[in-house]
Amino acid sequence: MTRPEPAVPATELFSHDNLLRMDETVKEVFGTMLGMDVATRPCPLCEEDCVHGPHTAHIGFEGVISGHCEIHLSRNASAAIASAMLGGVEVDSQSDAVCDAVGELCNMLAGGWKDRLPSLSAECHITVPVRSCDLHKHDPGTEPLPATAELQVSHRSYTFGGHHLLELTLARAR
Amino acid sequence: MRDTVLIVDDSAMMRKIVLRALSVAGLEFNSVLEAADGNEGLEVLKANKVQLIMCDINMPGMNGLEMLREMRSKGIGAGIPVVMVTTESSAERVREAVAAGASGYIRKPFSPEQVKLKVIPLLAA
Repeated sequence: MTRPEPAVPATELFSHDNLLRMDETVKEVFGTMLGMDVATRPCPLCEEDCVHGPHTAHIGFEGVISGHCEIHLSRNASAAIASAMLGGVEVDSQSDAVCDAVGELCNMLAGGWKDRLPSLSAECHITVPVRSCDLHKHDPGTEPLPATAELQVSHRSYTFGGHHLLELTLARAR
Repeated sequence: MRDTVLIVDDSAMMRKIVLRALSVAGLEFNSVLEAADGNEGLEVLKANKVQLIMCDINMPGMNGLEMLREMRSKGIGAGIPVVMVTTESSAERVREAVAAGASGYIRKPFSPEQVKLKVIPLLAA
């Protein structure tokens, strides 16, 4: 049995223009909320030089597509984000605030990107973010992500605050 | 100085950010109440006199729109301006919020200036 063609094909969802919309979203969120400049990092680098830091968050897309947006940050990068969100207050990299900041960042990136895409804007909802610190809680809302083989993915990578790295993955169920 | 603001958001970080934005925008409150979802928000409202509500939409448990509908249908916090603060800002979502009884809508990410522009007219009304 063949599966029905998805309403938004992956070629359209992850088109060059739509990925540039994610870059715009990242710049807007970092500029407005964190007061930080951010630069896109060439993609070949992000494939071979991934941080896969301890702080991650993902947020689901539901509706016309089924997929998610996932971010990875190192401990120091997450603490820098939490500190900037709080107006420059020093934040312990082990604190709950850091985990919370990563979840909120993911929320703003996923929601901002979705709203920039006419094909998704009104036809797709985002879920509540799941942070790496939630994954041990055995809450039904904190299920791990599907295996990569079941997904079509696109990676983006950004630098901010001079040397910190943000890795972002957009994924859609096949 | 105004009396009391209620900030409803499942993220403690976002509650702090909203409060900071209000403060930077020159909107200081004598008392700040917080709730992590719509159910908690309703409980706080039943027990306290509040002048302004800043409310997220996308929350586990009772979301912000459900809380707003419950408030408006049961007359809880009647007349209190409710500003939705959320990442989703399509025309559809804004319409949905206005239909539920929202007084204003602020998209995340936001600047203190945007908060000021949305909130001051509501408090002056």
